[in-house]
Amino acid sequence: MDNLITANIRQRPIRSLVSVVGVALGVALVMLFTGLARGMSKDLERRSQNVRAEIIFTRPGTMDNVTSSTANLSTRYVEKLQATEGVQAAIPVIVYVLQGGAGFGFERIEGVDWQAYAGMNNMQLEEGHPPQPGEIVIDKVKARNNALTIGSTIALFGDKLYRVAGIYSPESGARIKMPIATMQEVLEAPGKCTYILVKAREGVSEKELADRIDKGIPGNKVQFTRDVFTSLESRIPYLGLFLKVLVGLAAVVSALVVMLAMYTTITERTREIGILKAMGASRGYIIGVIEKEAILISLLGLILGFAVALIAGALIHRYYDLVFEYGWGWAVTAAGIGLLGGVIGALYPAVRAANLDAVSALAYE
Amino acid sequence: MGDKTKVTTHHLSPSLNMQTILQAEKIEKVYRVGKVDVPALRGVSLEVQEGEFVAIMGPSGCGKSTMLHLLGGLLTPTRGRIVLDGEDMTAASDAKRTDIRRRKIGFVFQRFNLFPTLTAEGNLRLAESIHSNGKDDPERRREVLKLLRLQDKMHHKPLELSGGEQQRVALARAVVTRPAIILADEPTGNLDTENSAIVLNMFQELNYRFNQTVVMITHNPEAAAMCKRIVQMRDGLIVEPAQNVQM
Repeated sequence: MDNLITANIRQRPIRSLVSVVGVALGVALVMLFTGLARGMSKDLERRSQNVRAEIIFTRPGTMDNVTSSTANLSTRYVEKLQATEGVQAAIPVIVYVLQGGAGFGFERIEGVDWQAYAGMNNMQLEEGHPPQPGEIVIDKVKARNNALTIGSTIALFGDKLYRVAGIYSPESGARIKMPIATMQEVLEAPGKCTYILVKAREGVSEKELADRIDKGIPGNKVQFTRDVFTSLESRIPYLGLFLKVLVGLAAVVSALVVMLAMYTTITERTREIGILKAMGASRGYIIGVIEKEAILISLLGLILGFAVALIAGALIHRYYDLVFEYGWGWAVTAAGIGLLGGVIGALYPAVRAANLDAVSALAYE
Repeated sequence: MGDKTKVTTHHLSPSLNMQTILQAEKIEKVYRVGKVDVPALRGVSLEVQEGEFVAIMGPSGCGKSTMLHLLGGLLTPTRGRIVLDGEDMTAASDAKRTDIRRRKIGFVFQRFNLFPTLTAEGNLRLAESIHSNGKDDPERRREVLKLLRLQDKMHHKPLELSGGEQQRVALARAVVTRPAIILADEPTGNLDTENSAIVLNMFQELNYRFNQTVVMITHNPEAAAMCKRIVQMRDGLIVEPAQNVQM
């Protein structure tokens, strides 16, 4: 193409590339952060849907978020809960959150009585046997993502190695499960758990059962499972706000990069702007030329940004087991940020160029 | 009368009934430098007829360039009136003067002022794009490029061309939009003798074949001698306004 806009971009390839990368950075940041939040949230929701217990019984202050590692609830409540009318089963669970195996993100481990937990949640071991002391069971996704098989070992709680005894499905709760007794021993919390899952008998209303438990064992926290295992965005305080701030920052970064690039361009091309004016180019025409250049740069930045986000997301998922799920809504937002940032960033240099004095511009060295 | 009709009448068929295309009346221009007023033009009057080829000569600092910028609507006079092809430039807003430039004026500069990133043809297309809001006229472009003997240079960028060729491209760019007048500021100032002669011949040919009106600033007496009329300036005034040259 032999037009001024593409020619200008080609004339300074490094600066154009830097501008494109600047826009791409903002777009990729938005896509990666929102994709991660959405992916982790959806992943948590998906796994939580397979927890069949209707009620979660905890101490106040526990289970406020998904990263809870406390084990301050006595397992003696299990007996009391089982004795409550309408309860089919009560199973204690310890949740422990540790740094991800690749040193990035986090990973949850649950300590459970495998037979009881699997029975409640309709889970089956596809390979291997239930975990014994020093052993764990993992779900199919974990096995596939980390290339683990029966007999593989995973280092948990420091350097202690645990052998994979079984691989189960469907995924439910944490991807790694070990005997609750083992976890109590490791955490030095005998007779303790994080929460107790309560399954109601068929035909019993969960609301009525929750009220009955609350009345029978007062001073504790009785929550519905569906409320606890909800999206990350609603459970992690200010995550939504954080994402919005991130989006704003991305917009500012894009706008600033484009503005600096276009400002430099305008300064370098002062004489050319003088020529355009001498040729009768209106202010609108000059602003249009500069804005079109910025839009083209932004479009290239968008393409690069989306590509980077997709590739980076896939690589991070592969090596760090974090789940990314991109939504159209955020993609449109990211595209809007990239384009709008470019257009707004170029506006000041464009208006400045359009207002240059033609004679001075022609004399510019 | 519509612009298109005017252009066709004025520039494609030489006419014996010449009419005034440019009229400058008692033009004064005072620059403010710090707290001092510096007069550049002190009451210059000039009339250019359609199809004329006028040279403006004079020593450095006499106000030639200021005069050309005023005639082209790049500057506004402190006092006086300039009418181009029936349109009063002095009463017009900046936007209106820009519009008049777009429709009626072609500039040729000493330093060529081509867009270095565009090819010769790209420079012409840009002029067409500005002139007619994106529409181009390939036939006219070919005609002009042929006249200026640039057919085989149309895909070259300015830096791949000699000085003479660059100035011919600049001239082609100025003329491709069929302007009412071409204003040339020392068009041979950066050229050697041979290329100067070629470029001046092109100006003459355009003037002769298309009845193209040209006002040219020059220091070069040989260049001025190729014009139909020479206007001498000194100290912001026209001192010899009516020296006609025998062609």
